[in-house]
Amino acid sequence: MTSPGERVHVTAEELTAAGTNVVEIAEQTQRDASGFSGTQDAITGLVRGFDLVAAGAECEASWQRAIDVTAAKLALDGDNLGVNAANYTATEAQNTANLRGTGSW
Amino acid sequence: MVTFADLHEVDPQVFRQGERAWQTMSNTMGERAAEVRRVNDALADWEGDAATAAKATFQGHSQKLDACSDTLFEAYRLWGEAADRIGAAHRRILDGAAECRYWGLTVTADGTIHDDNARNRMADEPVRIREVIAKYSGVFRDAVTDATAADAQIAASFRRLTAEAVGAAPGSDSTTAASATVPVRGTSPAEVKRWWDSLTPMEQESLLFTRSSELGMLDGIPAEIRDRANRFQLVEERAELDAQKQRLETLPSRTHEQELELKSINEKLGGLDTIEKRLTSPQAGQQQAYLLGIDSSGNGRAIVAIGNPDTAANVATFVPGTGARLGSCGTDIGRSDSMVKAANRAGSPSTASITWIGYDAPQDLVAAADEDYAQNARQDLDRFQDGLRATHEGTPSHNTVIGHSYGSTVIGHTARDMNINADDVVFVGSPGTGVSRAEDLGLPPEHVHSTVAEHDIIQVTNVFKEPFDVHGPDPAGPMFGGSVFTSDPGTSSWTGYSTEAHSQYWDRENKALNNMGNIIAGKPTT
Repeated sequence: MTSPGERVHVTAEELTAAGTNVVEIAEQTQRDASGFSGTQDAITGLVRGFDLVAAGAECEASWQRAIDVTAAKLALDGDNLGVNAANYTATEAQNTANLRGTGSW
Repeated sequence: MVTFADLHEVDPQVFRQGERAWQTMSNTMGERAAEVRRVNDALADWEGDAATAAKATFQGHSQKLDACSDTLFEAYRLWGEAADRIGAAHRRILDGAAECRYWGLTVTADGTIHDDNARNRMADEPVRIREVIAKYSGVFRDAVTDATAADAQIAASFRRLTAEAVGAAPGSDSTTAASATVPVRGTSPAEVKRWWDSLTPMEQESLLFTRSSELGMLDGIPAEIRDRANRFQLVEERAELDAQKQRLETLPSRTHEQELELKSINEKLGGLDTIEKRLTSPQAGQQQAYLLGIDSSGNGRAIVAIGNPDTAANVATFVPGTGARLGSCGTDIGRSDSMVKAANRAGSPSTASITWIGYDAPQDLVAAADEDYAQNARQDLDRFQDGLRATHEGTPSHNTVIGHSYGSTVIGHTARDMNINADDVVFVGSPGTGVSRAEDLGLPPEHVHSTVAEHDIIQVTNVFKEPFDVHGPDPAGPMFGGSVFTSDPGTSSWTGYSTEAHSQYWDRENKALNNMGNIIAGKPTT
């Protein structure tokens, strides 16, 4: 997100940290949404004959999807902030040692 | 319509569970909104166009989470209303039923009150009993009516609060028409690119979030978009694998097959870790990586670009061979890193090298004798190369396809049968390419480059002649007719050949690596 001529009064590290923070918030939001889903199942199993239970389940499912997508968008934007804070330009130094494994042949 | 039996049996405390859950979720979303705001506040000193755009984006997210919190709060109140209203009706039934029992009356499942002791009653009692029956029949009827009304009203209120109803559903801020027309895999990349360019920015952004799994693997979608889509997909793949892992780990005992499955899942998770680390934490001096494809099914596939292939002047596609899979992609991605560096050293103004594990590779040497793996990979590799052309910006890039071991067989079959879209092809440590001569690959022979190390064990596969040489002659051999470049001899052994030599072409000082850099950069080899 930085561009030539940008007046950056924060460091790349601060932007990266902010991006990481946002991704963590997004991941926590997704976990929140997952935890939310079990409640309705419990209610549905205990109550019969009431339309409001099915409507509540429908409402819950829709919000779980919406929160999931919001969290995913948040994660991507957080990730983009971190990625763009890093230097995009190619440089010479390279460290492939950490990527070495058995490999293919 | 709520029945007497439904109302009699219901435990209103269950609605309190819903009330608590939605209240907690509402509060939680409010907290998440506040957390995003705090991140934005921390960026207060960042100024400029990009800063404004980023802050607006995060402000938008916090507003959405706040709106979500508000709506969930409304739903929380509905559960409370249900507990109150239906709970009150339920209590009236219970109290009435208790009163009926006091008078020796029986209440049936449908709420009818019977006097089973009529014969034994005192002379003046029947009148009082009739009054009691009339009173509580009315109480029961009214309670059921009230509960039915509450049920209908609260159900309707819940339906007005769904994410779709309040306009917060995924994709509701875009046209569904665009979503419905995502081209299927296999559509020509040029057509895909035209379709993508025809969408509005809002449609593109919406599809990115709602159809990421399709966009991520679609050739003809720009690299930056594929990268964003696949990063989302990577999270999905990890969640899926984690769930499978948890299921297996919690089994009281595991069969041999389940142990193998668990091992494979752990290996794939390791592959995802490696990719994620390379994407998000490049080492000093490493180019930005782009995730152009990810799929954990089967052996797992991964397409990772080092550098942006849409903007680089020189673009290499590296096709690894036997054993290539998601779980072991780290070494192959490292080789792309090495080739970028070698090409830049050779004078390439900008370079991208893509590790293409976009096919089902043989996993052992016995399987590698089968040409079906190469045959099955042809269309995907051919389309991927076409996609690089379709999305490249500005002057067309110089494109090279490099195959190692069985990967060279894949490239050979693709070039032979599909007229591969590349300026140069490179075969490294090849067991054969499916053709006898370079000219059969559809490229000028001087653009067909090969090398094999003196001690590479792959040479053993090329001592046989047809019909026993399944994949054809060594492209680095004297009769093939292409351009041969030098490699270091590699590690030897008492047989004169070693498996180590087969994997040393990307070692830092190996002549083969420098030559691959030269070819990628469009320079002569040695």
